[in-house]
Amino acid sequence: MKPAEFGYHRPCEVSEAVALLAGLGDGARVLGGGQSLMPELNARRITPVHLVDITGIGSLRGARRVAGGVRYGAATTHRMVEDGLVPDAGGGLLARAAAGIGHRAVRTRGTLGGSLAYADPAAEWPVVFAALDATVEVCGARGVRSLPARELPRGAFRSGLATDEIVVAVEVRSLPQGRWWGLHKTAGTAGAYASSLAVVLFDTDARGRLEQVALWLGAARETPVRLPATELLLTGRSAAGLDVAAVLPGVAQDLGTVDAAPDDAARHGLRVHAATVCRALARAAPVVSAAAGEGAGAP
Amino acid sequence: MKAKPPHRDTGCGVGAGRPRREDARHLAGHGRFLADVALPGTRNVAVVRSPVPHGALRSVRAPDGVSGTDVWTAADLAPLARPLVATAALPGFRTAPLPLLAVDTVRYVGEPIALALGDTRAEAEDLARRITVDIEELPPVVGHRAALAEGAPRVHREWPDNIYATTSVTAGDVDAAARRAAVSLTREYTVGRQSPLPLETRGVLAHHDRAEDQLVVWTSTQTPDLVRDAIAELLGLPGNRVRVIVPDVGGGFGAKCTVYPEEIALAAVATRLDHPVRWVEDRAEAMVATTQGRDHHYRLTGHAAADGELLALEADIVVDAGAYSVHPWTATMDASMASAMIPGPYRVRDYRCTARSVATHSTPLGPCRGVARPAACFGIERLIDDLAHELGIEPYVMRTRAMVGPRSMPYTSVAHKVYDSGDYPEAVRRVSRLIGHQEVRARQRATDPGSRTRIGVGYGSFTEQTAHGCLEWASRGLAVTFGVESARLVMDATGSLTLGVGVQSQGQGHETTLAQVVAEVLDIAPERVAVRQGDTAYLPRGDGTFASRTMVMAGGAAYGAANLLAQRLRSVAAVLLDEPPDRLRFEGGSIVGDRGGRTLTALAREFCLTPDHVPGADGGLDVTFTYRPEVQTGAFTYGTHAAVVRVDLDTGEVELLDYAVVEDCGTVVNPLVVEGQTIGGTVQGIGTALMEELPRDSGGLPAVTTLGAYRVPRAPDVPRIRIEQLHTPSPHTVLGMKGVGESGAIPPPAAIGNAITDALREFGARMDRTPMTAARVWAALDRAAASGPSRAPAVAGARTDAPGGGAVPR
Repeated sequence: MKPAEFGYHRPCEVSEAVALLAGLGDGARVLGGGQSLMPELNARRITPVHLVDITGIGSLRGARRVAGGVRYGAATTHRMVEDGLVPDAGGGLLARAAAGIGHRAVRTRGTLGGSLAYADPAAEWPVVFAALDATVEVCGARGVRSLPARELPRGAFRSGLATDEIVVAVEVRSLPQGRWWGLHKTAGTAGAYASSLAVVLFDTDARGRLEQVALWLGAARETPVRLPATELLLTGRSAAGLDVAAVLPGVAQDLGTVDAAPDDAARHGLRVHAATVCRALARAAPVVSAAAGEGAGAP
Repeated sequence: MKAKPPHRDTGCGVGAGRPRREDARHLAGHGRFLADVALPGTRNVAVVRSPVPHGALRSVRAPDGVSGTDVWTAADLAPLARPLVATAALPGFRTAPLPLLAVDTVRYVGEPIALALGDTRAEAEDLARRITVDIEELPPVVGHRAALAEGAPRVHREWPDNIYATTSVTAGDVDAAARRAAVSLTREYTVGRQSPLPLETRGVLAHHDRAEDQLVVWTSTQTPDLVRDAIAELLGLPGNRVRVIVPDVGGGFGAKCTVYPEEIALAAVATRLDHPVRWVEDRAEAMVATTQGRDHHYRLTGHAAADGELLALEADIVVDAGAYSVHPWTATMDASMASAMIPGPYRVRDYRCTARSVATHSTPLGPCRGVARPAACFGIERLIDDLAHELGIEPYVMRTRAMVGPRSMPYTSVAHKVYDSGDYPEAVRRVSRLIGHQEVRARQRATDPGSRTRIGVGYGSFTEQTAHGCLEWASRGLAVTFGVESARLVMDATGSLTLGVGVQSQGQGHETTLAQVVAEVLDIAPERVAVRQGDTAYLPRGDGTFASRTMVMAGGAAYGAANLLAQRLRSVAAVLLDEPPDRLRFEGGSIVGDRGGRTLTALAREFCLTPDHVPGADGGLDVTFTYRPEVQTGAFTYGTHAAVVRVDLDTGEVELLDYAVVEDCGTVVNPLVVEGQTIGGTVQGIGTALMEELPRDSGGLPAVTTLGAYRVPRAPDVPRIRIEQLHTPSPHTVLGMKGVGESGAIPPPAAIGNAITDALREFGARMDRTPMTAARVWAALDRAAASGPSRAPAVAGARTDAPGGGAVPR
């Protein structure tokens, strides 16, 4: 398991990276933290002619506060988010999400931008940033463009990036005080990829009933999915009384899964997703203002 | 040599819980594993392997312009080495010679076809990809059922079917016993295929040392002499021209005690090259090309009396042994051991069993920590619980009633195993208290029926033959019968000692524990004894480390060598001190008589540098002792594990809430090392129970070939494992030790399977196959619900209004 021969480039500027990618064409791949790409290279499941390593670009690393939110450089590592070295626009949600990714060594190298560009259906960041309706800034030979994080993933391991484009930053509006967030990852063993990943955001009324519910699910389809029927089902109810049986019809409708189908795996999967939604709700926490973690670096 | 108890507690000999000496170098990164060994000029090998489970190999062609010694095929190796043939002397056993490289047929994904050499591994892989392999795919035999099906394709064309061997046991009168039974149950159980999964993969570095005229083969193995003998035999070389060296080994678990094609093939290639060649297995290879374990399929019938006595057992055993028979274990070891161990620790006299080992187009089966016992234990222990449930008896109480009692020891089992010592029921009683059985039952009774989780408690009892001698291996029909172990002990002029042994640590701590045995005899600090392993040219012959044998066998040899050396030291001291040898004793690093003493350091210096000071002393300070147990039926370690689980009724997820072990491995040389073995084994068994599986798709392709997809327990997945020891010295071993390397891995599938079944009794869902993944647990619940409400629970499931409670102890 050693990679086939490739050319290696380590630019220091975004413009240089983009120019390299434009010049090298289809045979080039962008290398971020390498936590997904390197195993693929080693197994020779992919054999790019060139790798453009963007971790040497200082301006991509770290985060800074912007009006109403936080802008995260693409090369910000999961560990920086987990450890509060950058502000948490999710009021604790981002740190929770980061802490669940792989193992500590993976989190030390893996990056936000790499995860978004890789578009693994079971990964944390595509779901979290979709739920937060974040904006992704990408740069290519034709310049900079922004698109909603929800529109970046186009399929399993397929993003909407052109071959000459790299993710530069993710901008997230801070969740307001009073809003609640919940995240739960169901995985077979510690550090494994999710078999289900639910992110829920909501407000509560005076009697603790859910309002303004946003519910997103990962590892269910090729890209993160919103669960509008379940959101509706949850609205006006209190999180305490919700169990799998209560949530299941909504999740089944949202995923288009017929519970009476003869396929055991699909029926079991549906329950795992419903249970994951329930656990995200049961463990939801109110937004904490992130006074700590003033930006490290400034993209 | 007679067993004798430790003669004093010095705090550093037998019984001392000393940290492992090996740890210091490993924690500092100073260990040396196979991939760390660097010889000048080494070229690297990549192995071209079959991508299909079954096919006719039409041709293998090296790319044009490649040097004749950079690509090796079966045709190139044929003049250099013979294939591995592992045959068993069992009646009707069919051999399946294991080619070093495939000749005209490939029979499993991962089977070696060709070797490609490159200066680096990456370049070797480049070349491997350019070798043209023409395979005509043939329909594979996938799974044991397909192997036995009418008209199945044959894995080995010359056979009439796909059965390596069928063995049968008939003892007593099962039919008569069945007529006396209050309850008879028939159940099917399956223990899935898993990887032994050493973290360090295999690897070989071979070099023809022309200065020494010696073929030197470094390999990551549990059995250095076995590999040396195989290389010498298959290459037609005298043994003294083959030297096997084993550096640090990062785990074996049975995966490294088989002689592999790569070991022979690289040795053969090295004889034709003027540089060393090295192959380090990568994980993708390890998941298909290293032997795999388990894959047992049972149909068991148990007959029990109303009071819980187990009257009779019937077993139909099928083991999917894969495509080839491996040396030296053969393809029938698992099946024959399962047939012997299904009666477990129980007093059953009527037994009927048929065991078949079948060939399929899958990776060869080999030893895997516990070998057949985790599966046999899962079968018999799940059956005991289901019988107890039918009888309305607490399962742990039924165990105490049906087990061999301490007054029956030694006890010859229905399968002719001699259980040597111990109190089996006491281990059950102890662990039921340790796990808080009554408290768990109370919590179950207090569970809200509307709750979407249930808890359950379950037990798994076992008895394990360890450190058996030659007769046991001969009875299994093996061509190699293990049971002799040597140790060489040398005291040098500085008074330090070197103990050479033929066993091979894979992390078990031999350097610590064997030194403690020597320290016990000579009353010295164990740090004075360096333990050397892994060099067949300069160390005494040994069988290796497997079958939970090292502390008994190599410990016995070390003990014997230390006593021999003590005789020599007495003889020297008798001259120097002018006292009769039998008046001399060892005390705190000195040898002491009635009138005076000498430190061992002074004595060694005087004897080694100025032997003229010691006229008439008997022999030198260099002794070798060969140990061979007088009783060859082994020392039986036994115990009972107990698990408490919480099961999620919506998802089938299982959480281990508590885990307790009560075990008896006789005299303990080092409690810390024993605890580490027990915990490690238990965690591996938890993997068998809940996670580890190597499934194949319907086309026979392995579905799991990475550690990303292969689930194995990580530290956060495991609760604290609470352990209590019983200490019944074996009457058959030096100092009373019993083996402990495998025992932890045996009962977890049984204990956890019984706990989940206990949790789900009210729904009638039973756990009958491993791993018990969330999907399988949920499917069992779903099927139970679909087949209508179960009968009311007799014991577990634990409602206070449980009927049939008259016999239920609370």
